[in-house]
This record gives sequence, structure tokens and C-alpha cells, in this order.
Amino acid sequence: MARPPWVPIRALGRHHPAPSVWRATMENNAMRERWEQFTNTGSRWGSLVLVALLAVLPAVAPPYLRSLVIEVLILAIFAMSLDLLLGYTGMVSFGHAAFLGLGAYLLAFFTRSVGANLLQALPVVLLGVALFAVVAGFLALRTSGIAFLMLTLAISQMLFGLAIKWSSVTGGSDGLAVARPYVGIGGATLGFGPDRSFYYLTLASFALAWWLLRRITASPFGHALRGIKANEPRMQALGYRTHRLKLTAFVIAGLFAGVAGMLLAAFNRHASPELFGWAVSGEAIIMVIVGGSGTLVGPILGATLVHLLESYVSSYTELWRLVMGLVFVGFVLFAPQGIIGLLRRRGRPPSEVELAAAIKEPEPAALPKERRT
Amino acid sequence: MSALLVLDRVRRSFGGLCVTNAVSLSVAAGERRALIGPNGAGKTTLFNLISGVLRVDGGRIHFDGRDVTHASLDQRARLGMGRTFQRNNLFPALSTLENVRLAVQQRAGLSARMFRPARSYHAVTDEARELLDRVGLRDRADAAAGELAYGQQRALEIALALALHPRLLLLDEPTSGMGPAETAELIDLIAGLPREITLLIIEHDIDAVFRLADRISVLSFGSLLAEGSVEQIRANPQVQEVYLGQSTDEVH
Amino acid sequence: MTLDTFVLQLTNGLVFSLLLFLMAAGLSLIFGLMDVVNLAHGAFYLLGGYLGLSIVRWGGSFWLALLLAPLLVGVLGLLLELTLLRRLYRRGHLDQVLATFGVALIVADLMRAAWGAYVEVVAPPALLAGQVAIGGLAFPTYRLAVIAVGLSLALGLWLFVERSTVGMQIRAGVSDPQMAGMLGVDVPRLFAGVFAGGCALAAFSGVAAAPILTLYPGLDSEILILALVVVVVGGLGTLRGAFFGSLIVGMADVFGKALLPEFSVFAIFVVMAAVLLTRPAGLFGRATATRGA
Ligand SMILES: Nc1ncnc2c1ncn2[C@@H]1O[C@H](COP(=O)(O)OP(=O)(O)OP(=O)(O)O)[C@@H](O)[C@H]1O
Ligand SMILES: [Mg+2]
Repeated sequence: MARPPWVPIRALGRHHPAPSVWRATMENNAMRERWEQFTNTGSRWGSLVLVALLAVLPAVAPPYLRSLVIEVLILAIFAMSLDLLLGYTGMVSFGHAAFLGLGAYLLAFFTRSVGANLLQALPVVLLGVALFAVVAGFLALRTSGIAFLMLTLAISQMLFGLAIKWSSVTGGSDGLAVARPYVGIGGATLGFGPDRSFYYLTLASFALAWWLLRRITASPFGHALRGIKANEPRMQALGYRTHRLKLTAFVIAGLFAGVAGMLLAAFNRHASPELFGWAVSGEAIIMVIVGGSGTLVGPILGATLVHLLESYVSSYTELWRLVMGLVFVGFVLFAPQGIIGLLRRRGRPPSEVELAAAIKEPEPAALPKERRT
Repeated sequence: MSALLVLDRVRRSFGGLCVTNAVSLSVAAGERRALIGPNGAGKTTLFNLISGVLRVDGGRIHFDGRDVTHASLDQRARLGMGRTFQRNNLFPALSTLENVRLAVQQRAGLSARMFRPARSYHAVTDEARELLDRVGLRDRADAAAGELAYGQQRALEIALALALHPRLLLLDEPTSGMGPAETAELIDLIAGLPREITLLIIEHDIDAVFRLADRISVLSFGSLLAEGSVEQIRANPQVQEVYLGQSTDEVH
Repeated sequence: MTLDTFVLQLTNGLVFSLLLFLMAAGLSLIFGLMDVVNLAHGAFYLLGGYLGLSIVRWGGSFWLALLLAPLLVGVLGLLLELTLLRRLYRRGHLDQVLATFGVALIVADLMRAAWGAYVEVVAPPALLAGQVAIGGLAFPTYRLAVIAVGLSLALGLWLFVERSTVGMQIRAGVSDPQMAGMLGVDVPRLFAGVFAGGCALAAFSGVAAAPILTLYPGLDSEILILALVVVVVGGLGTLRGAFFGSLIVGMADVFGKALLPEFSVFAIFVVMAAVLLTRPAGLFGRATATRGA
């Protein structure tokens, strides 16, 4: 059987015989664990250092860089939320943009009809997103695998169509303007302009989202999601209500994506129908896959890379999607574990499982293919 | 003694092939029942029908007095059916300990907790380690399940089933592919299980069957051929012909 | 809605449905056979239309375009299958789907570079430019021709799949690829052929639709989504499903647009939701069609 092209036998051979540092198994295990922890959801210190560095950045960076980082951080929240589905649960949603757009539009509606106080808007928007996620998830989870992918795509495209066509409410293809958001408690308010305050709002949201998603993925629930990805029928045989867990994951992912959409709309002061587009969903998938799915750190890296690539390439040519498509196909072909996968393979010797996987493909789960009762 | 599991004329076919032909069966609480029969007799299919992996075409299944004919796989597991699979069916990329922890945390009702790290539920981890201990996998706790030797994976299957604290334990050829020493250990383990666990076991190793079972049911071409105590089945000429006759050429 | 407009809309719905069917048939067969959703299918549709546009502009006739554009796109599909998808067979189908998404992005941008971002119109051939009066109603000749051609193609495709040897192999492959392989079917060749054929059909649809739907960047994803809905509604991997799914979605789209212009997408969505709630595998799909990624 063909070995996956991304694990060249040579590369494996390079680690074998193992350097002496890996010989002592205890040390090996401890180091491997630490490395894995870092390349997994991000080690505590690593993430604190990153957030701290980002916190001092506005002091030294020019405004355009600040904006760029804001966008990257918002996209990172979006990509991490998709990773919960794609990387942890094995649910390939091609319609995650639905939640981004919904968060943006709901904020726009709220600021237009009630006011721009984010503290008031947040619960309303989240409630709206959650309701939609429950309905959409319930429908989409009638299927799985490729059919799920197609359905999520179709559902998000429906919202896209609605945003374009229902112009009396959604502003049509022009989208909707969003009032300048602020945070107000009692009489005290803090407004967010295109200044540092919005940067810190975004950074705080990003840090909170990362932290929460780390907690969630490390929790019993998160472990159950991983079990579903690995072998869903077996999880059912263990008594798990996998459908309910998947729906829960879908809603949680939708909520985080909705927050990303709110931030994006608040930052751009605008909600545009393109946010619902399949290109946005696809881009999120690219971020997750290129960075390394199932790791949270990977999507952060992926969001950074894709967005920097976009802003860099698009300053030279209109054809940045072409470049991104090529990069993406390259990753799919040669490094499906993404950047994190590449780092991991360099950082430590392959485990027995990986060696085995490099030689033979894992067999699919043994339960008969049939819709179960 | 009351019946824990009752099958009433359960039927199932694949295409035109009738694999389970009006099987009626009653297993008392606390009983240890072996299900034997030649290859392709439909034993695994019957397990799939009992545990809810497959749906019945007709007939009823009662578990602990409840009609579970239309209950889903996971519902039946939560009602107290724990099973192993004939072909190892695990989470290969996860560690051995994590495999068992998944089963334990479900049974403990923790699987919806999403804030505290799973690792901080020490009771779950302790219980999982204990189970690994019991099936002889203590040293392999941190190895990925996919890295385990075949026999060790069989043992892990049993640990997963036991972690559910099942009232009915369904074991599908637990010793297949194991060496004699491993087999003996495993049979000891099964024999030593508390009597509250009702056991339904498919097993080709006749000595193991005779040692473990209180009663034996014989399945052939989807139909129940005979049922009785170990002595009765041993003496049954029909069974000897159909089952034991085939089981010798099955050794190849 | 008067009876006259109703009849006209019905005609339009039929035209659109048949164009959609040509897209969805390839998509569905490729899915059924290879378990791959070709997300570049919409791009190939649009590419067919643009190639047709160029052929007409360079002095070729519309008929030549109708022949040549699908051929070119078919070859492109073949190359794609041979160079990219084939390398990914051994991996999950997800990787193949992602690869086709990458291709869709690449082709979309190349088209934008080659043909620009404006709406392009292709004139129907002179022979079919006029209108035909039937029972006091004037029908555009071209649309009637599309209906005729679409129906005959659908019939031909059905005969091909149901009656020919290759068609039998395709059906065998859809129901059980491994078994088909054991029965001596050259599965890789079959995959490549069906993939190329599906792409060519999409391109044909693109050329035939150009005089009606025009050509513009973004049309690729619009059409792809509708075709996906067709496949979901009709059931994955069946020609019959693709046909009736196309009729349902095409009619829902046209009548939705006529009756509730702002909510036409909702009409399709409601149809899809209703089908999924009652038959998760689609109208004509088998339960096993919900195969995993
Ligand atoms: N999902 C399925 N689809 C079609 N046929 C099946 C399916 N599962 C089992 N069968 C058929 O049903 C028959 C009984 O199979 P089953 O696995 O239940 O036998 P068994 O008694 O467990 O045999 P063994 O001792 O070899 O494990 C076999 O002929 C098998 O090919
Ligand atoms: Mg069996």
C-alpha cells in the first residue's frame, strides 16, 4: 500500500537511529509531551508571552500594522472556532461563514435599532446566533461526512442570498453600516474608535476565546469530541449521545464565530454580504488546514499566514486567491497536517503510530455502514 | 430468577440472505450464557441486533423488562449493555488510558462537562487505571491504542466494556487471535467477574466455553439449534454434528 | 400571476432545471462513484461559458463553441484527475474535496484575469434568435431549443448509464467500488473518464446557459451551490435524483424569484429542509449514501 506522500521514508530515516537525547525514554516522553502541549493548544507560558507581546505592540507599531493585527486576531478567533468542528470533532463544515456574517449583521441590526453598547448587544447577538446554530445544526446533522459539508455550504449560501436580495432589511449588496460601538456601564462609557482601544478589545476577545477553547478542548466534553472524530459508532457503543454532542459543538463553534463577526463588523463599521460567502468559509478551512487542524495554535498560525499573504500579495496583484489556492493545494498534497505537523515532525522522533501509519493506512471503523436506530 | 434479556422471534436479513431467523432467547439475570455456532452462523449479527448496532426486521427485544427494540445503540449502552467487538474497534490514535477514560467518563455522566480539564477528574483516571490493571495493560497506559499488540487490543476492548459497569456484558470472541497463555489469563479474568454481571459470550474455544458458561445456545444458519446446560449440549448429537464437526476443520 | 405568465415561468423553470441537471448529473455521478464532491464543478461550468464566448468572438460559430468548449474543459478535468485527485485516493475523501476547492479558487482567479470582471453576454445563434408563437404566447426560440436539447441529453445520459457497458460499470462502481474492481472493471480509468465527462457536461451547460444567464465572476459559485442543493435533495449518486432534484430546485428558484423576489433563496432552502427532515438521504438516495468523509 502506498505510503502517504507527505511522510517520505527518508525523513523518517533521518530520525532513526534516534539522537541520544531521545534515547532516555523518560526524558523523551517528558519532552515530547511538552512539545506536543505547545504545538497542541499552546502552552500556558507560550500563550501568555504571545499575548503579552501583542499587548505592547501598539506602543511600537505603526497604525497600519495595528489594523493588520486586529484583522488577524479576529480571523484567528474565527479559524479556532472552526477547528473545534473540523479538527476536534471531524465535522467538515463548509458554511462557517454563516456565523461570521450573522454576528456582523445582528450587531448592525442592534446598533441601528437599539444602540451601540456592546455589553447590551453581545447577549442579544449571541442568542440570535445560537438559535440559528441550533436549527442549522439540527438540519445539517441529519447527514454526515461529505453530505454535511454540502449542506452547511448550502445553508450559508442561503443566508448570503438573503443578505443580497432582502435589501429592505439587509441593505442588499451594499450591506449595513454599523454605528461606533462603545462599552457602557451605568453612566460610564468607553468608546471604540480606530485607535488603540479597539485593538485591546480585540486582543482581549482573542485571548479569552483562546483560553475558553483551550479549556473546552481539554475538558471531558472536548475529549468526547475527539473520540467522535476518531470513531463515532464506537462512542455510541460506549453510550455517548454523539448527535447531541456534535450539535453542542456546532453551537459553540457558531458562537465564537459570531463573536468574530461582531468584532469584524465593529472594526469595519460595516457588515457586508460577502461575509456570508463561500469564499470566507473556504478561507477559514484553508487557515485551519494550513496551520494544522485539531491544535488551536495551528489555526492561529494559519489565520496569520493567510491574512498576511492576502495583504502582501494583493498589493502586487489582483490574483491573490490564485496564490492562496496554490499554497493550499500544496499543503493538502504534501503537508496535510499543516505547519504544526511539519514542526512536530522536526521536533521529535515519530511515534510508533506514525511509523505504522506511514507504512499502512489505518482501517476504517468496523461497524457496518447502516443508519442505526 | 428473572430474565434480563429476552429476544422474541428476532429476524434480520441482508438482501436476500436471512442471517437471523426468528431467534427467541432468554437470558436470566446473573447467568453466564455462551453463544456458539459455526462461522457465518449469525452470532455477531445477533450481538449487533441486541446491542442496537443493527435494527431488527421483526421481533422484539426486551432488556430488564423494557422493550428496547427501537432504542438506539447509545441508549442501550446507557441502560447497561456493554459489548466488545469481534474486530478490534478502538480509538487507535488515543492513548490506552484515554480509551478507557472515555468509557469511564461517559458512565460517570461527566461527558457534557466542558470547563474543568478532563485530567483533573482524578476519580475517572484512577478508575481507568484500575481497569487497565485488571486486564493486564498497566504498563501500556500511555501507549497509543493503535500501537498495542493484537491481544492487548482485545484486552482493551474488555476494559472499555467493563468501564460501563454493564449489567449485561456481550463479549464477541474475546480470545480470538490470542496465544494460549493470554487466553488462559483472559478466561480467568472473565470467570472472576462478579456474578451481578450477566454474561453473553461468543467463543470458539470450546474448553473456555465449557469452563465459563452456565448454559449454551447453539446457532446455525441463523436459527437457534439447541439450548441447554453444558452437559446437555455436550451430549447433543445434532450439535456435535453441526458445530463440533465444523469446528475441527475450521482450525485449518 | 396570470395563466400566461405562469406558462412562461414554467418554461423558464424548465430551461433552468435542465441546465442545472447537466451540472448536477456530473456532480452526482462523480460523487456516487468517487465519493468526491467536486467543488471546482462551478468553475468548470463558467470556464465552459467563457471559452464559448472566446470561440464565438474569434469568429467561430456558437455551434463550434458548444462542441469545443466542453471538449477543452473535459481534457482539463482529465488532467486534474490524473495529476491531483489520483494522488489523494488513498487518503480521506476530504483531502480530495479540499484539493478541488483549491482548484476552484485558482480557476476562478485565472478566469477573472483572462475575461475580466464584467458581465459578458453571448448572443444565441442566429437560427434560434427569434421567438415562436404557440397558442397566442411568444416563446424565445432559444429557450425552447435548450429544453429540447436538455431533455434529449438527459434521456441519452440515462440510456448511457442504464444500458451501455460503461454505464453498467459506473452503476456497479457507485454501489460498490471494491466489488466493481474485483469484477474486472478498470476503476481508475472509470474514475478518470467519469470525472472528465462530468466536467465536460458542466462546460456544455455553461455554454448553453450563457445566452440566458450571461457570464460573470461569482456565477461559478452560485451555480455550484444550486447544483449541490439539487444533489442533496435528489439523493447522492443517482441520475434520477439529479433529474427530479433539478426540476424541484429549478422551479423553486424561478417561481420563488417571480413571486417573492426577496425570499427566492428561502424557497429553495425550505424545499431542501423539508426533504432532509423527511428523507435525510434525499428523494432517491439510499440510506448508505450518507457516507463519511
Ligand atoms: N452488514 C452485513 N451486510 C451483509 N451481510 C452481512 C453483514 N453482516 C453479516 N453478514 C453476513 O451474515 C452472515 C452471518 O455473519 P456473522 O458475522 O453474524 O456470523 P458469525 O456467526 O459471527 O461468524 P464468525 O464466527 O465468522 O464470526 C454471514 O454470511 C455474513 O456474510
Ligand atoms: Mg462473528
